Amino acid sequence: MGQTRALHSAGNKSRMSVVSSFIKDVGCNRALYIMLVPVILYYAVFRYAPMYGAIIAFKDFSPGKGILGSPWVGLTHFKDFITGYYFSRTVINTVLISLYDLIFGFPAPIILALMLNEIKNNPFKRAIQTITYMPHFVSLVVICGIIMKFTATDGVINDFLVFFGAERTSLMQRPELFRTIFIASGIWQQVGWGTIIYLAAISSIDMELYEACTIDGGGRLRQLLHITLPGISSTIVILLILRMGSIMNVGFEKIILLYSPATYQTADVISSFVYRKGLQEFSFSYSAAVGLFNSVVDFFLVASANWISRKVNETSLW
Amino acid sequence: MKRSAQRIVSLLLGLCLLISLAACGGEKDVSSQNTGSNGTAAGTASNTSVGAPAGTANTAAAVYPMKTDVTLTIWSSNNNLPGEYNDKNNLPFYEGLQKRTGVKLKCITPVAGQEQAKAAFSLMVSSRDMPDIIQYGWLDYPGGAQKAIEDKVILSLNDIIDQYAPNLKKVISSDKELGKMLKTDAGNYYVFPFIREDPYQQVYRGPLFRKDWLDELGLKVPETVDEWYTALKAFKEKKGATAPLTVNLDYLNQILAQAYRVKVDFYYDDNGKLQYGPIQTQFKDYLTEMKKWYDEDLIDKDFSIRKQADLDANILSGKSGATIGNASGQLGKYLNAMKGKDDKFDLVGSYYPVLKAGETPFWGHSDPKYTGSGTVNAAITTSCKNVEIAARFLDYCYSDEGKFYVNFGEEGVAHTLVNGYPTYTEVITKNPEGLSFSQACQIYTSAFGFAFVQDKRYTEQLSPMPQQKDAIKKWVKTDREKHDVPSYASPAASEVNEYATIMTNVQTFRDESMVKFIMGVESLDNFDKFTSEIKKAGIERALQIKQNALDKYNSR
Repeated sequence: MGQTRALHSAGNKSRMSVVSSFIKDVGCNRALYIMLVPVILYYAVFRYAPMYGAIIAFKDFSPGKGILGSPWVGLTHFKDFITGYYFSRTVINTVLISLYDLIFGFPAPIILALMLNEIKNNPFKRAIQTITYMPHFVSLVVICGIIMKFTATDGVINDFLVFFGAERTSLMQRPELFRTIFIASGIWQQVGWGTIIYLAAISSIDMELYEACTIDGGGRLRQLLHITLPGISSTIVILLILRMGSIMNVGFEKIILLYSPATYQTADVISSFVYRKGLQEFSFSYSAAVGLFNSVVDFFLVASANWISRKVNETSLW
Repeated sequence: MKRSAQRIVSLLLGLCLLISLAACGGEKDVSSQNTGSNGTAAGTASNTSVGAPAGTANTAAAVYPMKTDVTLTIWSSNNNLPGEYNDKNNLPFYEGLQKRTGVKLKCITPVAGQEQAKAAFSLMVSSRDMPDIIQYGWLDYPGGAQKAIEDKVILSLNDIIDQYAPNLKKVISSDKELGKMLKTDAGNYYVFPFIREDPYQQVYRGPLFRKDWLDELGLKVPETVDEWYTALKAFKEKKGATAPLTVNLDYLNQILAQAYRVKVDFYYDDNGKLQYGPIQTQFKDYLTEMKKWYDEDLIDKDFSIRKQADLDANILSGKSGATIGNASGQLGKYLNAMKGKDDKFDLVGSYYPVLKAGETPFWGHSDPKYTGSGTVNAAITTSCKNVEIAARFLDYCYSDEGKFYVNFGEEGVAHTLVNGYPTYTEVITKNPEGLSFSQACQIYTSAFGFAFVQDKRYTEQLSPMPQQKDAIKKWVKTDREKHDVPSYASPAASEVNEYATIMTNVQTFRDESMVKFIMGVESLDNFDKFTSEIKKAGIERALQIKQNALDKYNSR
């Protein structure tokens, strides 16, 4: 009896101590917590509060009636979406583009960062970095305009191909080439900017490890494989898990700018199809339902990736 | 030394931050100022006397300028003017309009851009923070104008027009078809509309050919599909045009499908029956011919991805000899652009093509007399506290005096009378700041778009070049009245979801397959499969829904 009472009070004490230590911490680091308040407010007001609007996915929303006044329709929009004529095609296109982007687009900045790390000549290294950063700042519309002009039948890329004996074709009208062009241009634009975080991670690796490796007789390749890569592996894993959270959201602006009826079969993704449907009937609810569907799938993927990562090595987001 | 350098740098950074915040805030201030003044203006409107001043009797015509101190708030998205003119409150047109009607105005303009305007509109409506008058394309409202009335966003105008808008009433009662277009299926009028009074104003798009090339090659302006083929072939072989006909898919369909007596969507056939083009056998003939042209390099190889800027570039650089364009937007622009550079360059509009010589074209472009989308049709909102004043204000623009003012502005400023014909002055025709005709018109008049009847003489001066006048005359000569399906026949609210789902699927499939057929990726032997796929997607049901909508429309 006495023991259980002692245990209870011990439990109470530990609960109490968490709260009291928190209060003590706030007292000690008041400035830090005050700086945190606007950020928390921002997330609460602009990210969490608007989530209630997602209920229009289950309603037949009309701006005139408002969110609360619109009638409930339950899962109608979800059913419409899933039994749609083009459901499987748009989902497959979305997933494939995201997957290719993952397989080719994710390692690219890592490889570039590793290569940059090996450059001894500092001015040269900085020049390369500046040049590779620049495309990131160019507007997407400008990039797509450039792509359309270059890939046209009378464009530069075709001139290049003809030089090697190939025939002139309109590259953006060929569905089999769409994903390649989409992903390749994306890599070209973002690879430089993506190296920043990896270079930062590399710079945090202890120099002593490299020295130890040299003493043990390891060349540049060994250093790369056994020190640099493991050193940034936790960064890579975190970024990979985060990447999982946007597989269902292929950037619709770039798709719209580059696709055409000729390439619908590989280019038409969920977001572009819903966009066209929206032009027909202005159904806010339908696109809300599709967006919710995407978010749920994405969340499921992030959670799984996180769980797998936690089991395999200790790195995980939560 | 280091310490003070640090302090200087941190001071500069702090200053930069402040300035950038102020700059951002400054920009927002313009729009927030507008919405802020909206709040106060609405407040003013409700504070002043609600009833009409004792002088104006309810059913008699108003005497302008009216004696009232009401301020009306109007929301309309930017019509075509560059950014610095976004605040309409400063435009001479609105100043003059306020003087003439006696009503003070507060104009609210959302950020330019169609998407932003739609977003701003949705926000305004769902928050019920609405001005007195909204100028919007009410057919774009989800569910249409009838829904907007049922959702208590705008007012049904039937009684209001009877009581307070005698001028508009006269316009509507003189044209039965117009009346049908302006009513919802339930019989409600919902806007003070933008109307074009003459077919000459409604047609502005059609085929264009390089006249100098045709003359050089000894060809007459093509009328039949075979003559088109000959001309395009000659352009390619003798003038080195790499893309003799430059179009995008949409334009190609508009111009050439009708030669085969089909359209790419719904239309009435020669027997008056409702049909859907792509499932007809003639559609296969159309595709076959287009495929032949594509294979022989007569059509731009990249036609399905071409945007208007590419079409412009092709014509101006001589890569193409034929295209489809607007009388002022393309024809006028091209002629002006090449004036100094190539004096031989000349364009001519051709009739819409036919299969057999002597036939009248099956269909041609024309904007409807009343455009339900677009951003000018004025509705009175449920938030308006002075309905009579608002209605009489809008009605002014349909009176003879009002119509003349909206079309031609102040005499001496925007126009002068030359032998009784109002001629626009140089500030509009040759604007010193480089604005185009229609843009300059928006500052001193509102002829480009407002809730009024547009005068034919505006359009005549908008496209003054002889080539333009000639082109429009040719483009008007079609049988479109017999074959066109009114765009205002919208499906009933219970059927619209089903219709939209079917049509999105059908249109995606149709566009994709058409491009594949023309490019030769898909063999035309599979045309029957194409037809049956469309039928499987539910086109027969869509035809039914469309027929129901048309029946409802015709019984308005």
